[in-house]
Amino acid sequence: MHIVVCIKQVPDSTDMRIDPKTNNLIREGVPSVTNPPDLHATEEALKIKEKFGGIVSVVTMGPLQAESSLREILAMGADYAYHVSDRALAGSDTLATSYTLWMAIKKICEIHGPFTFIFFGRQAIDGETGQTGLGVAARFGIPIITYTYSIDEINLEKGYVIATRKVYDGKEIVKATIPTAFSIIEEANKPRIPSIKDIIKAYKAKVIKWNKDDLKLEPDKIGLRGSPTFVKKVFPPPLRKKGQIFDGRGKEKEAVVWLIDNLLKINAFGEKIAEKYEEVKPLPIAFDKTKQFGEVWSYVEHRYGKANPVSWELLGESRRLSRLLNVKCATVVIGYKVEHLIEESASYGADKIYYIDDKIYEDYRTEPYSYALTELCLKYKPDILLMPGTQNGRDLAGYAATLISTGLVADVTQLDIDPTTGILLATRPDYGGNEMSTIICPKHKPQMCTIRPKVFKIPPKIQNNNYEIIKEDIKVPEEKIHTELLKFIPREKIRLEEANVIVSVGKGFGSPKNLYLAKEFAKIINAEIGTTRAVVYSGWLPKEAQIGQTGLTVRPRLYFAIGISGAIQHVVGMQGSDIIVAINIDPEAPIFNVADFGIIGDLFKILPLLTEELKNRIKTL
Amino acid sequence: MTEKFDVIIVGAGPAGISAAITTARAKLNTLVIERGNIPGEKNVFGGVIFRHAFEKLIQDFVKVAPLERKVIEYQYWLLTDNSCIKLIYRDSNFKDKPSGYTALRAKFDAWYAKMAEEAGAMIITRTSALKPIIKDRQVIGVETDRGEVYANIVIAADGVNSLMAKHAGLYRRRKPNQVALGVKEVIELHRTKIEEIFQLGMDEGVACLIFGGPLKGMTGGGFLYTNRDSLSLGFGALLIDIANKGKRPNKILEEFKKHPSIHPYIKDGVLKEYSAHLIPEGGYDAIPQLYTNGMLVAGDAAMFVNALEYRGTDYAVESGICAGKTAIYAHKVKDFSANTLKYYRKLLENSFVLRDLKKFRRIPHIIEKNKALFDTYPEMLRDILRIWHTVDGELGEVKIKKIQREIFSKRNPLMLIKDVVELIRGVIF
Repeated sequence: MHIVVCIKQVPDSTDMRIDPKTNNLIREGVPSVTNPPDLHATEEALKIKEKFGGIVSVVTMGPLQAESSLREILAMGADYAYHVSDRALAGSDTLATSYTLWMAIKKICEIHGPFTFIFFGRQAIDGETGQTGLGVAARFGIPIITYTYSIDEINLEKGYVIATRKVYDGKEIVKATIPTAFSIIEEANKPRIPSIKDIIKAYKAKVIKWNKDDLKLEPDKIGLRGSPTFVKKVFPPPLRKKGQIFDGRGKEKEAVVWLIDNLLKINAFGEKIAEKYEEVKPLPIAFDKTKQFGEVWSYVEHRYGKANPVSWELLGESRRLSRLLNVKCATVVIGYKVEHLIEESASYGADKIYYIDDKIYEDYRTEPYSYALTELCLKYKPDILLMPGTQNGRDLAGYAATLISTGLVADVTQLDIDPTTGILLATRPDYGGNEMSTIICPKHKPQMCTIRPKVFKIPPKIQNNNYEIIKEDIKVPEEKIHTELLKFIPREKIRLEEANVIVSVGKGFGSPKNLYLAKEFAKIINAEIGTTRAVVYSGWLPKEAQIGQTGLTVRPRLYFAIGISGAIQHVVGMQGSDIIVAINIDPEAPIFNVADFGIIGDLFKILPLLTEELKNRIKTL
Repeated sequence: MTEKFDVIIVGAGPAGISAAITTARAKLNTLVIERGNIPGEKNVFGGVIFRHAFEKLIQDFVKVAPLERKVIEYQYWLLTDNSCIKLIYRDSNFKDKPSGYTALRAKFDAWYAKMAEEAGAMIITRTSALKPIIKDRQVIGVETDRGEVYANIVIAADGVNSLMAKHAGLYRRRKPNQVALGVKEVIELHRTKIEEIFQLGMDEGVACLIFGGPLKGMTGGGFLYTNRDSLSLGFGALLIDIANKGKRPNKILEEFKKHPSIHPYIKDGVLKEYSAHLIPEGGYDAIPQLYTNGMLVAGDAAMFVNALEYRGTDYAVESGICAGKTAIYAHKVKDFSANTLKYYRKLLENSFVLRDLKKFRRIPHIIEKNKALFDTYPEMLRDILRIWHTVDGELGEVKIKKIQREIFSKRNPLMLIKDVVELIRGVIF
């Protein structure tokens, strides 16, 4: 048993501050830590080592100071540490990094024997791509189980492993051949805290250092040169517009009516659906004869034929971008017996649909889907490929981008075309949204992105009679596929992160007995209940409902913060909501600084009135 | 396999690191345990670093250490609600031979700790020492939140709230009139602005000691120091006085910042850091037992702060060196009992640490008994100066009489004389 754990040292982004004057992130003096998800990956590896025996090697690619993180992992119980460090590696994006780690792991295996497993953390808290593990697995041609919650069975003789992964719509129980790669989610375990003895031992242990020559790295595959993507610019996030606050003390009914009027005016309770298609004029550069722009594609994610609405959010953007470049927009549909998705794509505005239908694609699996997508891209050479930023979307994108050898930008929230070059400008939040960066992929095609769900609007349906279907018969023999979906367990109820409307309750409710007021309100508007850490600590609601720095990050259309003071640790978990409504008796409560609409008043008076008033309005709607 | 060290030092502040450098250089197996993420993270001072102590350990200290500005000017401010009397002392002597430099602890301590690592000491961070491990009345190790480690000698350099010294029975509690609460802000201001306001060259700095005003009625003083591109502003006052004042320290700091004499300096600045810490104030009479079988106490843990001179860091360094030397001696004679470790006290008694604290031991008592010094006198001086400088045609003799009345109404002649005598006794004898 030989497990390789890949780790990264990152700035402690949970501790980052914003310069109040420039709104820019303060980078200096920020301490470095071992990427917290990697500690969970390490813990999982150590648990397996304790059960089966064997060794754990840890490897990182990073500057000299990253050595302290390797020692931290040694202190936890890893046996050997390898540090790949070289100036030439600076500026590496995920493609270049996965190349480097792949070469390093090959060399580690020359020393310690072939690996059984490679473990990664879910994603790094600075880059937040989650792509490097997929890239490494793709290069080795091994299966990878991403978003692993538990490793349920390891059978070394028969050479397989069974694991459970958590995705947005439920749990997948997957069987894969060994050797296997995993990315482990934080829920999987609680990392052990090394004793002082372990730390002392690790302090003195030997860490092997390798530079680019030790690994014989090809210069055009590493560092900036080897990175298809790079950051074009970095800027602070847009400041939230100041909200409107109504002092409802003594005039509760008036406040409630004011609020509901305002919310209905902006369709706060509805899905984010665009009202009409905005016709977009092509950019001048689209007519530049020296440039040949390919099509703009978007991927349709589905579960056994039921499309994930995020696919249409992508299609809307894809269509807009295609018009800017004066090219066609297409969707990619891969599945089994999913013909209906062709027409659905067309109804949301696709000009073309690339369609692959075969039994091997019945369940989503990384390898067949990646091979199919790769072949399509290599054959038809699209300019841009938009992928959903869901677990499986990122899984597929990361693996395929490596096979295609192109750039992939993760978790994009804004797309534009550079008018001078025609290149895609992909903007995404860094460090939990404290900073925005715009990334480009100027020399590789397709320019790939995973798009954050629920940011873009679902386009309106249109009458589309003018679409083309390209059916491709791409098959992958089962022998080449190393995974099998044993079981899919759909989630029982909607996850808070997926909710459209959230009613969040704070300590202002005074006691758990009063929460019924919020629950009644939530029922009327079809909302999920969320809460703060203080409430969870008091035992009023379970941890699953906790929103904030140490809980969930949510981005619903509408967020009600009731009886919540708005401490920064809570706000960072919900400030991405489209519309924030605050109800609090304290006019100085910081929550009013992030609210779009606020009522100063007694929630015990306001909430019942709000519920009553909404009940009446919904009747009349 | 229990790892055993020759010396374990608790706390990677100036005292602990100085001890570590001393013992590591003598090839003793040295471990430093620090509870912060990095050394310096948990440390706060005004403040000014006096180079003499560090130069014993580090050659070219002023060249290699991350210091802010060399202090070439001292200002003493006496504030009342609406006035300010300043005594400004600048001496070009300090341009070539500065005694002190302003510094920022997070930066400085992190660098200083590296010196200990270079000397061969092992520093483990993010680990809290909870109490000493005592067997047969001998300290043989440290219990941390991550397990136990053992050593021949433990040096407690864990600050004013030393758990190590307390659990070893070296002191019971610090009295609230023996410690001060210090509150501080670092306010960013462009370097050229600082140099303009204070008339300074690029690496020159000013140390302002501030009394009265919002600090009225409390035994304590405020400070304003110039760093490279920030100002360190704050105050320290006896814990018992802050408690009695009934105002929260941050409220007092707000008033302090708003004072018409202080506000103009910081109004264009940006708050970068806010911190607070307890400061030993009790002087010689507040010092705990400094050693016991297997353990020594250094730095703030030993209450080694000379409040009169706003000096704590160089005392910490010197005591750390003495502790280190004692540990080396104990290893030479292979005895770690109190009988050998009393050598520590001997070293301290021969150094400025105990000699100065002893010399000025009455000051904390005098000042505490005479809070008038902090409000009566500033007001008296202001009134005298005000009478004198109000030129409205009033007769000179009238003015002089007024001044006399002013002095004696606030403080009768006997008390005045007593104040002066006490002060002289405290400082000179």
